[in-house]
Amino acid sequence: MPAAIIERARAQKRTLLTEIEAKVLLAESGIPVSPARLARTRDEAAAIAAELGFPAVLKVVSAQIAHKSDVGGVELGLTSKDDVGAAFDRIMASAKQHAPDATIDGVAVQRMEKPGTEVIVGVTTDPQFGPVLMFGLGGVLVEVLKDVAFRIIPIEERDARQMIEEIKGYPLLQGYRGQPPADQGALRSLLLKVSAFVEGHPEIAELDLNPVFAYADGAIAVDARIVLHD
Amino acid sequence: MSHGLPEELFSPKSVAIAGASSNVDSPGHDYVRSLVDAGYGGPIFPINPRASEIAGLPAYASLSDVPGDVDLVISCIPADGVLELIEQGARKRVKVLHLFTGRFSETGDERAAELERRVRERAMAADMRILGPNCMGVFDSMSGLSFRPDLPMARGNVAFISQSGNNSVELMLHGAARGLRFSKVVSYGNALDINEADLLWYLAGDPATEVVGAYIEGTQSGRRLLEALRACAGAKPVVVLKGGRTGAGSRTAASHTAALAGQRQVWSAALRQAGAHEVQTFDELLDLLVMFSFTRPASGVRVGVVGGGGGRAVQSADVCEEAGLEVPRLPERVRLFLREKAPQLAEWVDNPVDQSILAGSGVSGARVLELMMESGAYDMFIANVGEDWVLGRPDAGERLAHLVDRFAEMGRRATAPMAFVLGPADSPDERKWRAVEGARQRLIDARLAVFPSVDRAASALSRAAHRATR
Repeated sequence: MPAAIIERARAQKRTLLTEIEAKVLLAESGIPVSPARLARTRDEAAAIAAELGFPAVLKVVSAQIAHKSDVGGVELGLTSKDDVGAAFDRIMASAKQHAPDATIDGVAVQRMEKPGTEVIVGVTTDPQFGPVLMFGLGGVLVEVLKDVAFRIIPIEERDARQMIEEIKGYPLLQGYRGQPPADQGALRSLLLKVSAFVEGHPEIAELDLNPVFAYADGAIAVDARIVLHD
Repeated sequence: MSHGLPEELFSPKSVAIAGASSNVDSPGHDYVRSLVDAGYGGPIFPINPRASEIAGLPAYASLSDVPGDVDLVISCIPADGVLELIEQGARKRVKVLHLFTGRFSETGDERAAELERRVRERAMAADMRILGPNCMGVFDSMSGLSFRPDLPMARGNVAFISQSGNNSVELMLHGAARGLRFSKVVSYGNALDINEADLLWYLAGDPATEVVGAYIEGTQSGRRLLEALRACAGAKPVVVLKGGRTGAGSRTAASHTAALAGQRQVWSAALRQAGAHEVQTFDELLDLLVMFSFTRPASGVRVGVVGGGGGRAVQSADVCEEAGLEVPRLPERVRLFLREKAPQLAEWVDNPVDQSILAGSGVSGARVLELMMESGAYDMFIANVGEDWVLGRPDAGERLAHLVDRFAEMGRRATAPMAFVLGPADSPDERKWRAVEGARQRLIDARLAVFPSVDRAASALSRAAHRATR
């Protein structure tokens, strides 16, 4: 199944996998992701949401639409099947209006995960060292302060621990102002699994798990993006 | 290419210098002179079609005219003669061709890069390894190989590899002034064949080398470098200065050695992952080589500091803590001694020990340091022996020498790492200058780690101690 996803993307001359494809690949490798499934109709969307659990999130799926929220392609916090159905219609109408030329495959349905400490796990390919793993705190801390740690893939347990501990924002993961500490064991495990995943899939040029929600117990990747080598 | 380097790189049975010159102000002369002065034991063959004798040795018109086989050829001829040199070398069973010759791919010129590719091809076909092009070559204190007549030949435990030629010379000269003695130094230039990974692999297993320094601007294979670094750092301390970390630095690096410099963060990650010490400046590189060369690893980060007056003591405490060290108070055992010998000071003196408080008390800073060393309350020590009040005395030279000898004796006996601080005299007074330089030399001759400032001593102690955290 995973091989089929990459082969299909290659056959379609795509290097960017859809979020659904990326999450299937990641889940196959035991990486905790919030599963997303494709709904082509209003009824499918409602049924998938009921199965995955409420509240639900809907996102438009189209190879031509990179910035989903710009075309009204994202709906959050949907608490019932009726809500989901209505949101499906709004997304389809809005996407067609804002991107009339785009081929729209449907809508990705996923559960809206409870918020945790946002972290980012990424992979990029360095021309000299090959695949490189990145870890950092999510949101503004990664964008403005570039507070991230790198390691060359593959990493060992010790590297995973050092990556987490060497970012400046580490105290935020240790718990602050009554916030429970983040599950560092789960984050280490996530880093090791992503390292093994990329090592096992040399076709992958870039990967972003952003954000990952870190909880007192466990961690889950809410969004995922995978780019293949040309 | 395999990382198995031929033994002839470091211990050739014979050496020929193509482009040897009788002009004493040229590299072609320097190479011949260097081998003679360094005491190289095998035959040296200067090659020059227009000279009969160079540096007292008979010269040969071409490599083909040299009697018998030649292990190592040093090329100082222009780039366009190198292919012919390889053809002649193949018949002489040359194992290693060192190309001091430059103007290859580092110029960015496509024809020069093409010539470089052909040189590589022909050398490979002749089973000849290439060092360079565009590099100073090999220094080996055991076999008497040297690339400049003024390099310190004392046999030692420090190896240094450098993509840059002048960095290799500077490190040796500045390092020797700090007491470093070298086993092997290799300036490898464009790394057309023999590269930094090959050399690190070799040094990992080199029994003469206990400490490794490297100046690297770029690499053709990050993966192999990472593995070689891991192997080397697993066996001995490895200190790496990565050149071309910034945008401006990278531009210089590209035109300098035709190597692509990688991103700063990725290099830092790789070095850390391999267990190597990354330094940002040449001074830090020297300081860590000094630290690893003269001291044993620390078992912790608690530092005891002696020397300097009140303000200096406060600043010493600041820089130590900022460098990641702990500055614990004097233990009870030391206070007991002070209560007995100098009761009025007993509760006043603390770590760092303010030398000015002790003045006239009959208790010397050296004695307090001794007690601190015996107490077991510290993992490492800084002895600041640059004493301004001593320098003000008419007999400054003798006094300082006496003080330094006392500290040096303690340093020799110390099992914990000990850093000595003696800054430059910073004085136009020649008498003071001599006193300070003389004292420094006494410490260095005693094989001790000497630093120009408390800041640099603290930083080196901290970095060396944190190796254990890997």
